[in-house]
Amino acid sequence: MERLLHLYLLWWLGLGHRLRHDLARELTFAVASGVLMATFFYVFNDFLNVQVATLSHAMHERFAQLASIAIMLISAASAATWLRQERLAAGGVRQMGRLLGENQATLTAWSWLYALTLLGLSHGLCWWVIARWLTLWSPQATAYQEGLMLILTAVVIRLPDAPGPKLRPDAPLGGHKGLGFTLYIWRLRQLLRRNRASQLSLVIGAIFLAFVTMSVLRGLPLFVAAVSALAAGYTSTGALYFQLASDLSSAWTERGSGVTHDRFVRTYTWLGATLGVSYALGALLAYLAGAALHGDGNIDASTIGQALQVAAVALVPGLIAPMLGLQIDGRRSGTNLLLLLIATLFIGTAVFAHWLGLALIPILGSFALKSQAGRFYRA
Amino acid sequence: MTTPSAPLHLLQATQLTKSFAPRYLLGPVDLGLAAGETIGVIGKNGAGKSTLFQLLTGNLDASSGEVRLDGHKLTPDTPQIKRMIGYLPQDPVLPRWATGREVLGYGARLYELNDIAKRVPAAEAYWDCGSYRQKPLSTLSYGMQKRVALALATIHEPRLLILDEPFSGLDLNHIKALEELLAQRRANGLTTVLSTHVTAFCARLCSRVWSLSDGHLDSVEPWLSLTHPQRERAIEDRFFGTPTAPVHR
Repeated sequence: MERLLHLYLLWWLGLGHRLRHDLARELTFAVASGVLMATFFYVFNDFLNVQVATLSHAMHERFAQLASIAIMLISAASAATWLRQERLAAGGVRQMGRLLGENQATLTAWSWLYALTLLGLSHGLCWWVIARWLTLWSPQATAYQEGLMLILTAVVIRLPDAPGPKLRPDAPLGGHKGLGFTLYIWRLRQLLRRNRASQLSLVIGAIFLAFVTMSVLRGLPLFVAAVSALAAGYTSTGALYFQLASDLSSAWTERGSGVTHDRFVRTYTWLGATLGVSYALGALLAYLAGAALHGDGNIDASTIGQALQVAAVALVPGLIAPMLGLQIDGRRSGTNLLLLLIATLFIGTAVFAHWLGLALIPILGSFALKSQAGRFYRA
Repeated sequence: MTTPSAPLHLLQATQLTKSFAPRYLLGPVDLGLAAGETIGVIGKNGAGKSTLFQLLTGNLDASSGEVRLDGHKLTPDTPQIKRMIGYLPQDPVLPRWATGREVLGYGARLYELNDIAKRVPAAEAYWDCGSYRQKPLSTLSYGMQKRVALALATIHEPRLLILDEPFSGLDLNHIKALEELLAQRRANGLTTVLSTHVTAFCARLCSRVWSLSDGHLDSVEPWLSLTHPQRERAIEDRFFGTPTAPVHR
């Protein structure tokens, strides 16, 4: 019992040391994010209220339920990932205890204690957020959802390690085609064919494009299609940040060959533009397809205008992501995604409100690119 | 008189310092590397060897002072100058899901080498990476990944090669291959700097040895006039601070 408590204390102390080590940076980021979000709601409050008022009560409820399900999925998957890491990682308390010859009963008790603490914290936070801001389910429904979350957590913990990708035979070595092209094509191939997190992001982005078509087919307000397009652009751009984190972990290979910060950022600017334009075109076609099916093939000028507006919104995340990727820490995809979310909400809403909102992108770029100058070498 | 256009040294560092608030300070360091030298750097864990190497490669901005390579000031924005250097970090992380062949091909393109189709297989052959060239790097052992990293650091035959603990994780065959490479580089007038905690490697391979302690770099003297066992003793004396007890060899 004493040794079990010792392990538990060791874990809490480790968590405390980690928090203390990063406290200044984490606090700065949290406060800056809070201020930006508050500013966003202050600036766009009236505009958003008008847009939200066009939605029916049932639609409101459905949005709240969808958001709740997304939070539950994220919570269950996060808890499962942490539990899995503790079970398998060499640096985990369990593995350390095992290597030091701790008996199996203590290790099993530790695993249960750790799991209960983690599930209590993550699922508790999840239910608090849902009940406070989104929707209030009955006790039976809550118990049912919690059961499903626990099953999902257990399934993720027990998943076997993913095998390596099946690689195709080597492409011919050939010659070089310019440094810029080499940097771009290497990343594009990694992002599309190798990096699993990036691949998942692109697929989720494509699913949101289907929501654009569905919203038009069901005759929902333009606002819903724009939100879906923004979500498509945002999630697909996540692929860029997952690849950036991977690139920075092995950045010595490129730094050594003389790749400059400017060249590195330019490559990501091209990649972001590629993803942004692809998903913007996807949103345009998805909207037009929905409109064609809804209106028996009739597409008028105003529909084309709306489709272009939706496409412009989808374009935003891809264009601004490279400006933000190295602002805090390019190796932390989660932090970058949160930063991108805030910037995307700002600029995406501005673009949806008026075309001139697109002018915000070069303005953001002129400041952001300066403030992250040289960070490829400091990451 | 040293001038940028006619340098006496291949690499020259002047009054180089790096501080990490609030405590750690490296330098000021003054050093010069001549063509054909093999320099060993010794020092305790955390003494600043890797920081010094990062400064010498231009991958880290110095707090003050400068590094000149072949007379040109070295910064992160001088690609043509940086390509004269090959660098192997202490922990050479490679892209997880790329293959060795792909990483070497990519590196060769970044260095804008002309004969990629010959260089890559040659580097694979020297470092014995050919048999696993199509496997994802994340599925390989540390030593196998390190050989790919060594191949990458040396594929462009750099004039200055900086190796941070290159022997760790290598088996005997590849330690021998690395020793042969260093000897060959020395014979060809190419310069190498390496850090290691194995005194025998310093004694056998290095024409000079520097000791880094409390942020300051000192040369271990005398060196060239000593036999290999005496060199090892000299390093141990420097490392432990006091002459060690006699060792029967």
